[in-house]
Amino acid sequence: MTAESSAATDLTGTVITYTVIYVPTPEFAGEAPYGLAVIETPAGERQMVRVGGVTEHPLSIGGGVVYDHEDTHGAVYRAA
Amino acid sequence: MRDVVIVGAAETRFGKSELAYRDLAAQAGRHAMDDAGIDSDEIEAFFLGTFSPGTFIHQEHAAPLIAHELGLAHVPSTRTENACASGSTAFLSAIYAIAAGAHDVVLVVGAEKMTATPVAETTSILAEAADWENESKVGLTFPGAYALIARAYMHKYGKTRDILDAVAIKNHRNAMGNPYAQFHKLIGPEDIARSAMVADPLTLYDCSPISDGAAAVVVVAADVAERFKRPGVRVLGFGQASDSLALYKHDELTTLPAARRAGERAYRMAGLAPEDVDLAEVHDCFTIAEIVATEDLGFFGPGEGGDAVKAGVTGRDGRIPVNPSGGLKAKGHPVGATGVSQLVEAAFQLRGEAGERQVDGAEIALTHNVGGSGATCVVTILGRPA
Repeated sequence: MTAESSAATDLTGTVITYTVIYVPTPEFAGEAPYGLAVIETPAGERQMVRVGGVTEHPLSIGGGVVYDHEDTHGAVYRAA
Repeated sequence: MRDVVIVGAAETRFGKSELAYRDLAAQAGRHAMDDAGIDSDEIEAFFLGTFSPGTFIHQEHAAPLIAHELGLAHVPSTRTENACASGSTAFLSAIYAIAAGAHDVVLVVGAEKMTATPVAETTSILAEAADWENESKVGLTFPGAYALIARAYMHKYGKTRDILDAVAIKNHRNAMGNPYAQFHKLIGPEDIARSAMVADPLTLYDCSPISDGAAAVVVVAADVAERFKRPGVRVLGFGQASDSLALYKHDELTTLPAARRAGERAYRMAGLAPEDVDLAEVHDCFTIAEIVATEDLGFFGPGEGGDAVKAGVTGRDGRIPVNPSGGLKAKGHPVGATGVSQLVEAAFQLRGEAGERQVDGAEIALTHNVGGSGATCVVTILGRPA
């Protein structure tokens, strides 16, 4: 495990806004629908993160997300 | 600053065209010169607003290509690229050249050829106008960016998607009167309810289409304008502002801060206020974008723009008609052409030549052109010929 992904496992955030992408770019073909959320981390930083499993665990503004795993595109979060 | 006027305006029909990129651009340019009553040898400089011909049709270095097609012999030709605001940036470049005294007569063309490219690839090309490292690579699309705005807006102000429906329905209705529009098709809430989800909460009917098209204006110094047959549409003010490419880094997510800045600069230069504007052509790449635009431009307070559309305030006969052309949503959105097309519509309206979509008594028109999710914003304010 790299230092970067090890640090990522600690990450959580609060959802500021979100969407669910149904029509992705070719790079993400086969992965839709997936969530994208603008989050604020406990340190007060804003980020945009990809969120998996949104059909079973929907996102909501004010709700939490937590780092789940890494795939070929990078970090994947899930609704907390 | 030297006063600047528009003495020629023209555009092609938007939509899926059989014409090649260079032919679309040349047709618009030629018709704008015809409208001004001038020959190509009177043009002193050429600016082309275009977004990504390199990826759409394998053609970079497009400005001299189009200049040659138009028979503009050896004039300086320059391309501007600011994503979907490329066209209005080309127009401002022409103004700067005239204001600086370098040229008196300048041709501006905006053009894009998008339908020759598969849709999935087009989604990818457009996503390159976002922050690649922080957005596109993470999976964001352009509809996705505006979906983030729509979700934040509806949550903050307690609105439902009927405000988005109202924009799409109005703009499709307006486009019925525009012979240059891609769509001549009325839609209702039931069509929208049936349409496919693109990026929740935005459906296909919330999105502007993929289009081919070109638009052109002849821009001249006011002090030489009397030699042209057309009365000059006056440029009263303009403003351009920038922001981070990444939407999540904006100070606020329910407004485009750079559009507010660009609007403030344009109003200040023109010595006008939002209530002075008789019609506006705004950048409704997605339905939510029109609502946010009308608030950023000061027509309505924060959270009030959606209800104003529903109440008909922005209809053609309303207090402040917005997108009488049909907007990007229904007129079409050939990316590089859009900013110039907004100026063409404003010129038609201010000359009283907009046919059945004419806004009665139009004296002041505003255009609002946005690149990306608000990283480039250009606002211009134009006045009826003196």
